[in-house]
Amino acid sequence: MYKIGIDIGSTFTDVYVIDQDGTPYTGKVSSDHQSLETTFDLAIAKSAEITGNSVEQLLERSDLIVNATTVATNAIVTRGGARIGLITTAGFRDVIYIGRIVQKVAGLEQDELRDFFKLTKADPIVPRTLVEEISERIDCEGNVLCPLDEDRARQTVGQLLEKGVEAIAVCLIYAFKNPAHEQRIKALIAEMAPDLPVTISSEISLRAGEYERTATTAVNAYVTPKVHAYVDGMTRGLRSRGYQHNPLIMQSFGGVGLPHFIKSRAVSCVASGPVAGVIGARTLGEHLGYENLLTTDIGGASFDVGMIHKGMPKLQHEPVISKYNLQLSVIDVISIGAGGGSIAWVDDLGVLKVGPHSAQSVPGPACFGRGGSDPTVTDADLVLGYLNPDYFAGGAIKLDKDKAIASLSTLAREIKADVVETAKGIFDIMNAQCGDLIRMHTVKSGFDPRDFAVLAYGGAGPTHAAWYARELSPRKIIISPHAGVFSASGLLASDILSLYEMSDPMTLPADAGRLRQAFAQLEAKGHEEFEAAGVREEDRVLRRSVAMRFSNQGRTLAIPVGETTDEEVRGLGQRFTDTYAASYGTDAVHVGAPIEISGYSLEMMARIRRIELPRFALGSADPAPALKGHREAYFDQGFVRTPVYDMARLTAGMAIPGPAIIEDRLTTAVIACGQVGEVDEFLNIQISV
Amino acid sequence: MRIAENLQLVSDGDSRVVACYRCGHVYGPATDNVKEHARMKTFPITKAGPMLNPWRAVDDFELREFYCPGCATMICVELNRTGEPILWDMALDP
Amino acid sequence: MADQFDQITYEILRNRLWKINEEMCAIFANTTPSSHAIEANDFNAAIMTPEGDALVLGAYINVHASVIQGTVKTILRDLADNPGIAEGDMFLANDAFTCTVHGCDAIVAAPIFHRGELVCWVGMITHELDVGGPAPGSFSIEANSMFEEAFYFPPIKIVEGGRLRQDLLSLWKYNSRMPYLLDGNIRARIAGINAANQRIAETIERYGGDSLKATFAKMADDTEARLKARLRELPDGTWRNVGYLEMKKELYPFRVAMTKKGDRLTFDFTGTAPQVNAPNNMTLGGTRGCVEAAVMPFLCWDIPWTVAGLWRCIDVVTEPGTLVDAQRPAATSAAILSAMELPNVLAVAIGQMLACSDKYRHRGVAAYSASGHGVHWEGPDEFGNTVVFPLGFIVEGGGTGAWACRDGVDSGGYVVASSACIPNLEPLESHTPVVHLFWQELRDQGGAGKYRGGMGTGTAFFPYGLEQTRDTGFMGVTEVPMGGGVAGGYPAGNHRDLIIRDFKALDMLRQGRTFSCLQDVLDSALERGLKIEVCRQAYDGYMSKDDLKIVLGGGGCGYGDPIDRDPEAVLRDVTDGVVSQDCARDIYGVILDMDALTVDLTATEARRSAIRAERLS
Repeated sequence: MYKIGIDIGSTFTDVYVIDQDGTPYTGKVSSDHQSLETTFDLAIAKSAEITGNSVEQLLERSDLIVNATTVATNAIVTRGGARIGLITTAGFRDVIYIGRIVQKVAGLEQDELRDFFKLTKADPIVPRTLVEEISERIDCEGNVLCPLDEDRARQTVGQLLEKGVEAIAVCLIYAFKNPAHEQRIKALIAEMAPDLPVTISSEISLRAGEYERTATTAVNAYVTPKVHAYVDGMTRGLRSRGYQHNPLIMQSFGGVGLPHFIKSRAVSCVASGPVAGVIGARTLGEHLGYENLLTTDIGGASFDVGMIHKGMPKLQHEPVISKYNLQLSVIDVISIGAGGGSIAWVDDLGVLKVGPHSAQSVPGPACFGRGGSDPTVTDADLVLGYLNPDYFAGGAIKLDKDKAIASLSTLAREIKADVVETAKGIFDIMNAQCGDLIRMHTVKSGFDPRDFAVLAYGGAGPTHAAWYARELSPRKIIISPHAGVFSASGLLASDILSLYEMSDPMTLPADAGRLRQAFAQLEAKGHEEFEAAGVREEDRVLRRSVAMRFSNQGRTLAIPVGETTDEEVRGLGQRFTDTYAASYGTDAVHVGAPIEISGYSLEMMARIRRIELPRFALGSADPAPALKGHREAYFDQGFVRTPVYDMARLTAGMAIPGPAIIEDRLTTAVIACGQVGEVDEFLNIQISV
Repeated sequence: MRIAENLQLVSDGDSRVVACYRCGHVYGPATDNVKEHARMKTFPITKAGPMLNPWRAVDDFELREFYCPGCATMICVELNRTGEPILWDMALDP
Repeated sequence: MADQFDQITYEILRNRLWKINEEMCAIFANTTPSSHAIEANDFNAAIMTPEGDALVLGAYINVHASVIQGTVKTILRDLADNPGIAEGDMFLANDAFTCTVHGCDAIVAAPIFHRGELVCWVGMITHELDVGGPAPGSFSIEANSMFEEAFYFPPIKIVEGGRLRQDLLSLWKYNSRMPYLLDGNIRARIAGINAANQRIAETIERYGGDSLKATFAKMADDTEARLKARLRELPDGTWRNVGYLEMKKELYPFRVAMTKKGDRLTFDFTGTAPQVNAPNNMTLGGTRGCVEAAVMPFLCWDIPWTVAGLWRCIDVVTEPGTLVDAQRPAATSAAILSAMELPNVLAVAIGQMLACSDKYRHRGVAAYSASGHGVHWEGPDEFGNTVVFPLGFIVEGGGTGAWACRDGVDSGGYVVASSACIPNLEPLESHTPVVHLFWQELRDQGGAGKYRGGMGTGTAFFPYGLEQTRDTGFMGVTEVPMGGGVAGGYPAGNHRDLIIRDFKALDMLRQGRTFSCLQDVLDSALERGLKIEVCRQAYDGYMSKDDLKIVLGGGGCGYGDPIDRDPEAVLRDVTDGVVSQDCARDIYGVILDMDALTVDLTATEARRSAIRAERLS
């Protein structure tokens, strides 16, 4: 039986298939911007091709298909979602427009904040004329201050229906404390328009914060029709060609969902793009014995960083999507515009810069010969000898070194340097930016990069990792043999996962009964959903955590809890203080301040049965059998004759001293002077720095 | 040379004058405050809209509107205390 | 070759310093217990040269730059010998005359040493909710001098050789109504500064101290060179503006003449009113902060905000003893209200200068909403301590001014902050005994113009679970907005607080009566014959649970002649409910067919012709 991972990206779609022996097959297709459904079909066709099957044969012989799709992200980013109506509590219709003011700068980099002229709010996903208020009000404890006016609510829904809305979002103040009014409105809408998709906030998020909850609810309604169409179309298409199971879809918090889940909570796919790589990294880390990993992915236009700490992906609890802050838990992946296609330029004072603008795939870097003339990181990599002009993307794209040199010459004149110095400058700045982002990502949350191994993937990650990771002094730099399609391989490492969260602040000493009651409420909801999805109870795994902080703080730390015994609950204060001191320093502990539990989080998971990664016995350290040849490449102070190895011919136990280049069809890894790359029993290259 | 939304500097023999950017009306020498050469009317501040300022406690502020005598374009609105001289808000070096 | 590689090292180090500063801010935000910092981003951080010149500044409250460096310069001047400046020391200050804008802003500055050498300073500033004094929230609105306000702390060495001094920490906390906030904020700043210290040490280990020094010098040189180049692109001349600061029921002129000659810019505040027996006086540090807050976003949008370089191009002229250069013993506890207004007056002058350039005319800007707005209640918290509840600041995100080519942003934030933020109501109501009736963008609050100013927000609330509360409030100005419209744009509606006694909002809610907007509330009061009490710029009184407080935030001012506005844009504003039909007709000269939702073009042209004729009559 085959297992298929398909990761749809903005430029390329990656395919990773394994057979029953665990043998991997990899491929890439160009994404079709017009239709994600078509892209998915192309990827299925590619899977059939690389495994030597017809599509029907492949689907009959497959028992797992996992897909990461940009359908929800695209709908929101391109504003191609549904015409929605929004219903709010009387007096609060403007909440989504006010956007806590900060909407104006949400998601921007520091440099961008300086230009007030360019700061504008989100292009609204719901026009003001489709926002309606209903008469009701609930207080912060969940008591009804003003009863729901059902007649007015019916009238309001009627008006929205007349205006032709395709979905309705309802977000009422304190609905997370008392969802009765929202549930009643949902029932009223169901009476009036049984087929209309309705999102109520209390089914999407039980967190406090009406702006973010309203935005999340509205975004869910906005993407729901598109997501439904995609999921239904894909499921039907697979079934009609002989696939016997439900396909699984990647969600932004790192678990995959059955079609049933995804359709009831479409927003959970928003920003799921870079997540699969992090999940793949977790599995790889488990195999290799690394609990702490930094994932670093250099694609065409961006550099993405994620983190696994103590075996768990780091989550972010309020991502910004297209200027809306959302109440989602997503795997925290941060990006900068620094990729292989990032353009190098000289500012008005003659200082060399790299990015954030990118040459995209068309026209692409100058060396692609597709008409691009701006010098990019890829052009610099080529001139420095790291890339093989005849083996880029397995030879699919011929790189033109003369064009790269020509593009760099213009810059070289501007900064009064020669072409090689210029290329080296671009290379160094690119690597420093990557290093700074990793540092920002780790130390900002109190982590020391020296406690982590750095995993490098994406087309250009392995080319630069030896340098950008070096300054961080990580335990190792790891390059997977499938680094070029690593994210797609991560899809097959994911579990079915749902996340349930709730705000309910309580100051320590905690009432253990109340805490257990909160989890019981979340667990009941989880079991109901997993039951409906047909996951057997014995296959369900639960993980609980509480969000804690010193009284009045805005941010929380997640403290995992087990069975919530009285004894465990009594010890929470000490565990929180210890974790806090470890993150921020002993003097930073707010001595004597009350400690608060602000919320509860439950992960419910069903493990997918996986095939173990194939393991090879360690053999000779001599890399000579994998040697392809030599070429001139730039290391330290100049060009040196550098051995070039074939990634596919590496065997476990080989030790490759730097400088060295290792070529794969879909990526090129570089080992710097003084470093040694050792091939482990899973054929990863582990570089010591 | 355009010097504001609706004003320009033009040469007039040896000297420069300020003129309307729309209709060409000449206000006066560039060395003067152009507002002194515009048509001015004063109003209670409430003319600027219902939120200006129904709850005011101080009543000695006024809205001064300055118009182009040629095309009636409003070139400037000044909110100032009654009795204060007209603000000379732009004086380019000769 | 060597030169070029220095350039690359420079680019790397320059970016790294910005990132270290960002990290310092992020750690502070993660660990502070102060809602102003968490919800409103009311803090900032800077990295400075050994001499105390600021190199990088966080994108938070922009008036803070000058005062952080002012604090370091004060420490260097006054304390170098006794008690001395050594490795592991940190200094705390809130003295407005030497270090801050007002007493609620507290700075911790730390010298960073590497192998015994002072390599730079870092500083973190945040708004403290209460540092003591007669009024909850420490805006001593009745004060005539500093002796009627909370204590002023010139720099004290609160951390000595890496050890937090308990005696000084106690002294700092002791007079506050909420000592635990001061304590937590000291610790949050220590966490941020420790991280910066370590990062700078790592950077020096990797690149060497000389590279860092060269980077410092070049950063200031670059910013200076770029600002000078920009100034040379603009014509020489003088642009003036006037605004009126309000305090204790009187208004006082604030005047600026901005002169640009060659590559220098001078801000001359001569003619501004003498200092007043009220707490809104600004010291020179605050005034310089206002100049930065206007120059940085409106003239240096693409130039790194390395303050040390900016000041090589800018002069400030003040008369000591005035509102912009107050001398001891002036009261200053509410100076931030002035400091949040003045940059608007300067921004308009800068925008008018840019309007002389074809290249930059589109960047001309009308005044943003005046911004400072606080309501402080006093009452018991969940532990029974008497605490201060900050309320009004949810309307601080007023409308932004219109630009020469587009509308201002509705509830777009104030002028002195790059990343202003206001809290959600749900967490606010969870830890404050209050219920809000509505929170909306106020119709007609933005100044009219060819491009209109952004709408401000307004809210109404009452005590909930509290029989009565002390009720103090303060705003920058309420009578007339500061800065004004540009090129024929109108001024905007302003901040204002109102109280309706015996409104009995809770009873009405319980009977099923909700309120969707300001007009709804005013109509209900009128129907029931209730009187509307108008609050002045600063007030100190009481509210009962039956009373209703209305808090209105300001709008942004307009740009260009309102009758030049695209009628379709007016139609959109009316259907969106942000502009009334009356304003559409009277001010914009646009007649709408509200049934068909279209512009009546013939009637509109006639109306606009009539307005033109009226103007010249």
